[in-house]
Amino acid sequence: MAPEMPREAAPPTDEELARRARDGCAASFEQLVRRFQVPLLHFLRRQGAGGDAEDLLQETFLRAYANLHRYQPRRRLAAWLFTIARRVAINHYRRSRPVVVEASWEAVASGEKEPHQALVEEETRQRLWHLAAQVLSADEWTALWLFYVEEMPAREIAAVLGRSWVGVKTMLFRSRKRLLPLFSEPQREFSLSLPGLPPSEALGIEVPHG
Amino acid sequence: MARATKIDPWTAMAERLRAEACDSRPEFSAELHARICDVVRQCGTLHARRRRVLSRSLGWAGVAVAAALLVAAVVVGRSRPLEPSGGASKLSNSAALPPARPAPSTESATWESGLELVTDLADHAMDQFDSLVDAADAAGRWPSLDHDGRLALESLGERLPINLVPMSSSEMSDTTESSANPQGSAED
Repeated sequence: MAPEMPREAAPPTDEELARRARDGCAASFEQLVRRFQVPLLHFLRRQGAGGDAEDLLQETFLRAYANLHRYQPRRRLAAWLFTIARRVAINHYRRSRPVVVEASWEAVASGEKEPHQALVEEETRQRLWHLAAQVLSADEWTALWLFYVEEMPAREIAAVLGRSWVGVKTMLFRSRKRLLPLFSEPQREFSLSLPGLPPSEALGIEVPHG
Repeated sequence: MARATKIDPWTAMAERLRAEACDSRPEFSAELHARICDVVRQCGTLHARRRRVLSRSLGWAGVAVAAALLVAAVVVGRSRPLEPSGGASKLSNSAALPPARPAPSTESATWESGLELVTDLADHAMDQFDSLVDAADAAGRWPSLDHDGRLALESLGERLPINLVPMSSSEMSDTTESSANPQGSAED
């Protein structure tokens, strides 16, 4: 009879790691940094931090570490961290002008692409989120991001934004309603009007079945 | 024959939002991770040092506040108005001092022990002061009564009929001490 393989212990939850870090376990906090580096950095970049996103990320984790004693384990850690990141980003906006379009400057620097080409491609790639940044408020954009990208429930989004759960639901509904007409518009009307550029691919919502 | 199935526009938009976000998702950076962990570790050491300094400062601040409260208690006690009270019982208690408590060592004086000390001292000071006040009050009661009595007779004399001779204050005090029949009563 083959010996039973020892069951691998389930990885600790974010809240468990936070509790251990609060009790002084540095390795637990480093594990949290590893888990949340990408989602928080992504969020901060999309908030328009531009090249400062990494500095803001560092600031976010520093504040989280300094305030671990205030963290309540009954609350999801992701919501708590995004709350801190949002406030760090807001403070950053007060000091500098936000960058809306983040072009792939690496390709431009290497000579693969022309600057305007990179700009158009970036805008095409992130068209809907750029449009959202232009027509929605900061809170509405954040709610939309946390809902669709981080798949956060409305109650946790409410905790991040400091609003009521009903208010967040209403905000999400209105944001999608305002964004939908822009989503349905032909893309060429929103691309940069630069001569000599190929037309962008059209958006389609019809899925053919064979 | 291909049949086009229309997707709900809300769902399509949601899918597009997710796809765009996924497309721009950054990669994990080990370098950034190491940098953040180093900074957090340094700040953690700094916070621990600050907490030790803060706890020491709080100890001295507690002693200073306790001393200030003691001074305030003495000042408040001295400014309290005189009130007549059963002097005998208070006087008998004046000799009964509260049992002496061992003073906490200065080195281990914490916030709580400092307040406790102040409270005890303030209570004892008030007890002592009360007994002193009562003793002074008892000694000065009769002279005050004599003076008040003269005032009362003067005001009564002002209300007497005009044909009655008004009595001076010295005549009034003599009358009071000798307990002779008062002249010129209102009924006459």
